[in-house]
Amino acid sequence: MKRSGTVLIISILLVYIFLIGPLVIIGFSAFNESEFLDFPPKVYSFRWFFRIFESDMFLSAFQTSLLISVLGATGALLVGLPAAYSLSRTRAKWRRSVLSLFMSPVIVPGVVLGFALLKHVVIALEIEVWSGMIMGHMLIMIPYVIRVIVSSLSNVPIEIEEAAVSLGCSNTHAFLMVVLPNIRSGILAACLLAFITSLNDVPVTIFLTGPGVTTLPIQMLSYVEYYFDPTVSALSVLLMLLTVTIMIVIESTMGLSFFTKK
Amino acid sequence: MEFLKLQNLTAAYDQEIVLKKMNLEVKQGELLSLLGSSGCGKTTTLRIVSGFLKQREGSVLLEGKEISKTHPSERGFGYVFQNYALFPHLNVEDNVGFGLKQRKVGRGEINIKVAEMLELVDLTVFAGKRPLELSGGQRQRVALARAMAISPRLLLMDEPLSNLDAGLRVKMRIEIRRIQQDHNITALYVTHDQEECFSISDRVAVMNEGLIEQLGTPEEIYSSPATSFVARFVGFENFIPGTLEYSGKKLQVATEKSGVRIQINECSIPEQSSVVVALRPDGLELRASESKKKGVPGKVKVATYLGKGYRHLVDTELGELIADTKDELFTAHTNVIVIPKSDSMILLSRNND
Amino acid sequence: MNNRLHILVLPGVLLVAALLVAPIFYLFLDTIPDLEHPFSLYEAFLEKGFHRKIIIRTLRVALITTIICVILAYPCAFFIARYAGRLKAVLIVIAVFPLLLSPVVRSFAWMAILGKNGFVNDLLLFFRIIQEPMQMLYTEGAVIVGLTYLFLPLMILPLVGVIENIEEDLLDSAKSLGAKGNSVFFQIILPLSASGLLVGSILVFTGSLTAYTTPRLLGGDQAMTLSTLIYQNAMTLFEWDAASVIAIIMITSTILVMKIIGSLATHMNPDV
Repeated sequence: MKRSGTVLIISILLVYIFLIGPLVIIGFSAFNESEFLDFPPKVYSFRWFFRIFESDMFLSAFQTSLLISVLGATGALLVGLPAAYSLSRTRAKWRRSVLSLFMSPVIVPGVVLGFALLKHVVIALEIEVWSGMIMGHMLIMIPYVIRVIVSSLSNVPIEIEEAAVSLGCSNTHAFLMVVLPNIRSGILAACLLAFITSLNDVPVTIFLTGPGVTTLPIQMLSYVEYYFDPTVSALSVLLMLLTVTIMIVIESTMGLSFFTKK
Repeated sequence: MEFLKLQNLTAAYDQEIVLKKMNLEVKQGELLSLLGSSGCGKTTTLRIVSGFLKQREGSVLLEGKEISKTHPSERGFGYVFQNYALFPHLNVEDNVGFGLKQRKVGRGEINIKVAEMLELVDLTVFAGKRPLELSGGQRQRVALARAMAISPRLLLMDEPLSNLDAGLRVKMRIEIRRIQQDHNITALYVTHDQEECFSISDRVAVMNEGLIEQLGTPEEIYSSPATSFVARFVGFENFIPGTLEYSGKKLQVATEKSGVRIQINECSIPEQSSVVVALRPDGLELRASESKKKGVPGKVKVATYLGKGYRHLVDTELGELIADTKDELFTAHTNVIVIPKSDSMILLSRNND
Repeated sequence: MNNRLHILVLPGVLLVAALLVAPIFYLFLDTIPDLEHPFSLYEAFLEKGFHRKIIIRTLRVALITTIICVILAYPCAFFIARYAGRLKAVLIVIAVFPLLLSPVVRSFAWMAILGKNGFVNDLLLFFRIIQEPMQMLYTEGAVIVGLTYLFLPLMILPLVGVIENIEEDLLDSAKSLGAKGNSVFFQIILPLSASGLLVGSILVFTGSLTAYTTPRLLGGDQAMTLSTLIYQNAMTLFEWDAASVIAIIMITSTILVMKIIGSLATHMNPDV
């Protein structure tokens, strides 16, 4: 048992160095004076961070990303919350198929989604770029919204709604007064998860992008292919900070063990 | 006029019929229990009365008026759930006062009523606590207080005690009965626990597979079960089929499985009917086979200790019989004589099976 | 009550139907030009050796990535699930973190590491293992490394869940019946966690099959995969027929893999 114990510890160490190492490296390069991504840096500076804020392209791309993700998340929530409620309360035969339908944006390859949307929705129906983008992002966010809220609702048994009704609430009123307050953290976690997914998306977005409608990851992508310098490292550091913040919020509401469940 | 009347209620889940033309009348101020094992339709009945389930056929009449079309939120019935269904985000006070808040009762009045209810269930100190912080028994009392707070016309209770442990169950059922009687509230009580049911009910409806097998007072049901299902529920474990005959002047049952004939006291069932003789374990006497008394010979298979006596599983010509003794133990493989006591017998007509 | 429940799903169902089901269905129709030669577009596409090469490469890359992930993830997940104790939460957080980062960031990190001026080359030059910087980017190997990096957490996390769920009681009863050390592992733990491995493999394989950013940044035009090919056809070459064919090939293979491996997993352990 001892020997296998050492094997386990070594493999865990190696794997985790593998997982974190690259992020550490670009973290360092973000503060590197030189424009080569050498490691470790010889001179430290903030110049690449200033670079981000000097030019307009990243700032406006970030703005665009925010707008799209927020609007998309709102749409996904508006559509997803009632659907999640329905799915968690019904015993109908269509439950499984509808659930699979809602999960399908996760299963279908992003590039296929993006291309199909471009060809048969945006172009075919002559929809403008902004709307197309928001629709695409709503689509990829719905699975997360529904999955998290259904999970949240499973902790609020229907008897609680019935109790409220027996005491005088209408069905809707019972939902608002007694269910909603108890799934608040679930809704928040769902939104954050969906938000991150949308913010980071590339494969779907890249087909729907157009003049004036570029998201941050797309902008970073094109930048990296032309200018190979630590500006992107600096951006990465900022994004990592954002992600950590969001993770802290998710942990304090729902707990991250959500990710190990199926 | 009866207070609550259920007429020809039929209910189904998908294709499965769970209630078959059920009829029941509940009197004002009585506690009537629906007793049966799971799947018999007792909870279904309760949910139809409360309005959470729609019946396929039949009517629910409250004081003569059909209420099936009334939304559950307007019926004014108090419902106590098996899992209590307390609102996790509200404390005890707000839970109990919830119904009053829906009725737009003034803040002051709510506080008074809530305090009154909490005092009723002895939870005044817990007013500010959340359900998570309470024990099972305490939650149960909050659920009861919450239902009572709206001064319900009818109290519906769905196995309210089944999630509590034995000692608490006994304590709480007395409380529930006391409150029900003090406030003279009509109550429909669902349970699978025969002892609990009999100790607090005015009348009991024993249900099986969507039908009421017997309706009566606990005493009636205990001493004169109408069918073998009900008999099993109230402790009869031995069932001996046979035919009722006269042998000279004596009334006897000629048993099916052997030549043994059982002596019967008078009864009203016509001669030559197929019957089942039912006996509780304490309705059979055991004697050593040497004793030469008249009875059914057999051999003990297993003997177990019950505390209040011994229980014997005896192999006989009539099949396996269960006989209890108080002090005497007959060990396994002992030959014995089983003597049915005429005074402890119940005769069930065979078509009631 | 029931009818109201039905209605609540409707907006969502319509949305997904309109934005996903219908467009993909039409895409599929696009690939069937007429009923007499239904597969003509597919044939035309597969005729080109270049295309066939890319299909094979994509499959190969996905397979290798999956195998590497299995090998790396299993001991890791095993450790986390059974030996980590108080470290468990921390380790899970660290594994989850990269998943929430943009694939651009994650692939870019490897560009920095594998580039001509990157970390690895610097190291190799420093130790004089090589004289000149090696070309590591824009190769299939780089793509495999990048994809492994991308999907390793996806293999670790479900595995942790599955291994965690193996009740201690099961192991105790095996031991009480005489199973010793390795036996317990091979006869109880491995089979029960194998289904978790399969689930993780589906995620990694299909993910690698369809990933875009990583092959683009780390493979470029020299090591294209189906995803970068579809983009090139659709947006650069405007060969929409070819793009549609690729799309249908991708989605069909994804669904096929999921069904096959999925039913294998359920067959082995119906609880998963």
